[in-house]
Amino acid sequence: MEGEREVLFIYLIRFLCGYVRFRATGGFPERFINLCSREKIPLWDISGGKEVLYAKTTIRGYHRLRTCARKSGMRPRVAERYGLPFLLHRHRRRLGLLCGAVAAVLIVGLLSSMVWTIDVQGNETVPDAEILAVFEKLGVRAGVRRSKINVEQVQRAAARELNDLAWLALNIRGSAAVIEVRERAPAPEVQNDTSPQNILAGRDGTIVSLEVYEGEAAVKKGQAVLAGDLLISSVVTNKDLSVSFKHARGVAIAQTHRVVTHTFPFRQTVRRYTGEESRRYRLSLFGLQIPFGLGRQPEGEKESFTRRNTLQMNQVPLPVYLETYLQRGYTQQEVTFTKEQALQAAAAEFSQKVSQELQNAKILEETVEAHFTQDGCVITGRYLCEEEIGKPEALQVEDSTGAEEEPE
Amino acid sequence: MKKAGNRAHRDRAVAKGEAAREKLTQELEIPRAALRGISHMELSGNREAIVEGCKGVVEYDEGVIRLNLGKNMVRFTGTELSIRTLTLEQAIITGNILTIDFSN
Repeated sequence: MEGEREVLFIYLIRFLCGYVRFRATGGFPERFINLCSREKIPLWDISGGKEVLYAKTTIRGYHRLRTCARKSGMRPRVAERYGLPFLLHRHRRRLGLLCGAVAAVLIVGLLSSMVWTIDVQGNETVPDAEILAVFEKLGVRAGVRRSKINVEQVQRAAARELNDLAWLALNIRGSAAVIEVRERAPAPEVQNDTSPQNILAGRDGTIVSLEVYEGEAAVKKGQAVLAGDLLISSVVTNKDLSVSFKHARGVAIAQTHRVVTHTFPFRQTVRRYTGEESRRYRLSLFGLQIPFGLGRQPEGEKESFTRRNTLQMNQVPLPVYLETYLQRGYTQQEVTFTKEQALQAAAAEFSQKVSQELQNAKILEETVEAHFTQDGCVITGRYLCEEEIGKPEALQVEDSTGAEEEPE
Repeated sequence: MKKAGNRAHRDRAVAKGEAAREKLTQELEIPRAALRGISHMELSGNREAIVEGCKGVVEYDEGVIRLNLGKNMVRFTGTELSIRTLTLEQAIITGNILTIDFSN
């Protein structure tokens, strides 16, 4: 890789300085080559034979060849010319080309002194838009000159405004600005372990396992409980028969019977697209916004979409993008579903409902039935589950000491 | 008679110095080329040969290139041979190299 870069650099230098390929005839080619080497005249790509020798050298080298050629009896003649000096000389009368080249250099120089892309990295909860908005307020936006940005100052000001970030850094590499952030980790919630509380059953079931971390177990494994029954008591009797109140904690797993029902009505209101659409575009060229496309907006109710296509080069976003605003008109219509359609739709919605309602339960057995009523399709699922049923409930303790009022 | 004696003395000194350098390279386990000033050659298949320590071109043709390495000479024979680069110390020979011979 290093070697390849070196070779490319040599080619570039040769192109910029210009070089010639010459043919030399007669005389002694070996002597000619050695003399050139001794005079430090660069020669490369030497080919041919004793009769005709071809080689390449720099423009300056070619002018210095004469002495070596005379001493070795060779007669050099230019065969081809390469490089920028010859190119410029060939096109010296074409003023437009020269102006174009100068303008291109100036434009590239000007554009490369500006920031064109701003990327945010390292954020998970704080949205990009919020961070970008703060930086934009502080002058970091696409199209601004790099020299106008005081990185230290912007970093300090942004850190003051964005309280959800623990750390941020603005790195400007060429025309790309990268805002690196670290979000503040929220302080863990400290549980008030001292307040007395009981663990009650949240629903009916049969206790499968009970793990008590604090408090006293009020039920045993295999015992049936009803919703509201005490599972872990906060009242603990000490060895000296005194009583103390604890913040009961534990896990109570029970077998429960759950029923999930979902009804899908035959008559439903759905969106029907009217076919009316309007598309408006906005082209952004290096921060310059050019809106175009004056489509008639659809009447009545409509939904809107925005799509942005950014021009990329080697997976690097460029400050050129096209935004499309699409508006699509629709009307609300009442539709009557057939039994098959209703069943299909009801099944899809039902499975979604089940996964939502029983997300913390382990399903052991299930029976699902579907039947049709006059209004729609009803799906009922009966489940035998294993789940945590413990529900903490604070214990109200009344302090009787000193509550009595003293007689006046 | 005196001249011959001086030459013999010089040859012995050169041989002694050579032996000392040889011993040093062996003891320090460093490449011989580093101390002894001998040429170094690197081949990429039979398509390219980089010759370092080249003192000049003795023979040049499309089929034969002979280089002066100071103490000896190297001769490349083949077809379409050319010198890609030639500087004071280095030569790069390219082409279809068929044989490489060394001679004094």
